[in-house]
Amino acid sequence: MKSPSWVGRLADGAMDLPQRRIVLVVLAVAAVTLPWWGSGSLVDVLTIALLHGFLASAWNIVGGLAGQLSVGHAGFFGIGAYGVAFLYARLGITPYVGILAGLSVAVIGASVLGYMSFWLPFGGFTFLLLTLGFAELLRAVARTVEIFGGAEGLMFPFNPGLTTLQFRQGTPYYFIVLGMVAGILIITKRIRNGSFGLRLESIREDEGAAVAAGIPATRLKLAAFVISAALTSLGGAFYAVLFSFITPDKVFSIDFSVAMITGSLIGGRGTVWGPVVGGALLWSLTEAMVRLPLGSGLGANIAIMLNGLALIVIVHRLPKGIAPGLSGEFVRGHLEGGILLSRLRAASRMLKNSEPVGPACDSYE
Amino acid sequence: MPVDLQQAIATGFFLGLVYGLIAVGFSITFGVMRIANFAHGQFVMMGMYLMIFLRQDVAVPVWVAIPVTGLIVAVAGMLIERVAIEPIIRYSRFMQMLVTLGVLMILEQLAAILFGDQALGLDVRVRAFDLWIGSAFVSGARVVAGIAALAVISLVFVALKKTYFGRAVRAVADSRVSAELLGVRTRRVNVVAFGLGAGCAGLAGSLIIPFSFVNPLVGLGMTMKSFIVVMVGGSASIRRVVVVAIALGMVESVSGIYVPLSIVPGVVYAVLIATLVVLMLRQHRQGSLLMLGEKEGT
Repeated sequence: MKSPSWVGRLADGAMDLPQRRIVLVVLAVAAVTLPWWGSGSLVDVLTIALLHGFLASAWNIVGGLAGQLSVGHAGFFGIGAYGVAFLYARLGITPYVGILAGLSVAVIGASVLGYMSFWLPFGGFTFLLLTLGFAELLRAVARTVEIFGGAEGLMFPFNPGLTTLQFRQGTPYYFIVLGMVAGILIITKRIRNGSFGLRLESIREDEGAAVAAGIPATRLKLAAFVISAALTSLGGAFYAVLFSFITPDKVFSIDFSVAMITGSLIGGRGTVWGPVVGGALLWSLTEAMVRLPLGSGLGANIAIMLNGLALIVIVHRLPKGIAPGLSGEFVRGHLEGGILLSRLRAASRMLKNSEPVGPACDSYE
Repeated sequence: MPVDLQQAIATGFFLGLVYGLIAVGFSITFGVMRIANFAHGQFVMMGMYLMIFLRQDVAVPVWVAIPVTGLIVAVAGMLIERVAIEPIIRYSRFMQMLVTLGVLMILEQLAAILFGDQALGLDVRVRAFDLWIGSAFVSGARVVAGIAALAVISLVFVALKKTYFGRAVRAVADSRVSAELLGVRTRRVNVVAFGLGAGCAGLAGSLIIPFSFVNPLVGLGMTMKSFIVVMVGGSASIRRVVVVAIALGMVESVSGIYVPLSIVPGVVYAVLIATLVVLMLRQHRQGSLLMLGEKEGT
């Protein structure tokens, strides 16, 4: 067992160290007081970066904790965005109702989709295919149906006020997204450290064994998916009020789903802090690329391309992301669910060590 | 039967044959490597762009451009297999799908950088093959595409049944470990199978471009379609894959009459769900995609 640096230990949500407490408090204080000492543009940038951290974290609940590959999270994001935009722009109803409407539709959609894909006996492929098609279908519908604004999307009027959730300055948005990130960190941590998370982890590691041990895999996967979709739709609703303008090609695009996945993987799939950091980092890098003076849209193309490349490189070289990569063996054992589980895994590896095992096999199969 | 329905069924039939070629490529890759290649549709897109490039910028004759396109895409597929897929062949399915998703993104954006976002088409007319079936008219390009696709599928079929390489491929698809023990060079089979799958897709792309259009996003739809076909038809039988592909082509072009064009992918999606539910209810799973995937020996 290597002795990890305290930075490394910090990266793992399950550690409990005095340094960790101190750093966390400092970070939290810095984050909350940022609008008073940081510049306005820093606040704006951090708002969007944290939104992407939030989204990656939302994906992490079904993709990281439960190990189900959803490529349709842009669908739920778009539902959340359209819930707000449609009710506000077309009917003049306050965004609060829109948020709830989007949330309910996302929950219903996720329940139906999840029920079908986990119930049908076709394994992970069905889930991926159905979620992928789901987002594409919604995009086609939103582009076609005139009342949803067609391909041009929906833009809504700017009436600052608490009832419309629109503000002249970036600071209120920043605090909203900060609250959302804090909320999702607490949710993820509670799930991961509780029995729900442990059961999800056993499904992720070996679903057959989990089912044999009496874990209701279908129901738990469904629950994780619904929670994840609901949170994603909240992110979409926030996006809509932040920009006051959405287009189907933006909010339903597969690039968006893949950005959530990559962000979560960069940070560390299945960890608490990793996806927030990874998502924010990925968005910042992407945005920096887009701003490069390369001519019309070339930067954006290159950024998405690098996103795809990052996906491959991470799976090849860094399957656990940067969070545990900082800290070496000790935390890695911790990340996989404590000493008992890693002992069990070591034993099972000894039993079936006739075959070579890839670096990701030992943890994610 | 109304004329436009006849028309749609006739064109859908020939379109379905080309879908069949794409899906056969997908099922070869899947059968041998047990990898659901989400970048498969990108090879179709690659073929479409290459065809346009060869015709318009290099002015190669059509009959040369089509096989050349297939070859180039096959080689590109082999390269991708070596660099991206081979290192993760023993990883979990989750990780494999992520890698192919990454390949998908890269190829999509590469196309957007090289050719731009706008939809491109290519005008190839083959008057000699124009076909009237009753009152339905099928343009020569479609007829040639359908016949060529069928020819290539038959070629692949015969090659898989009769040649040494075909036996090796089927052996690996059946059981990788046994094939390895019997001296089949499985790594080489992987590369060639992947290249063959990509080549089929690229060829299909070059055949389909005269009567469709291409933009960087078409690949995703093609992946979905080949996935649907193989999922419903099963990867074990080429004949069934082709039949299902023809059915899909017909459904797609017939639904184009009744709903707006941008909803057609939605119809295809609905058909997928309906078929999966029916298959589930009938417990009709022999040879279907996941039956093969489930008995993973490797």
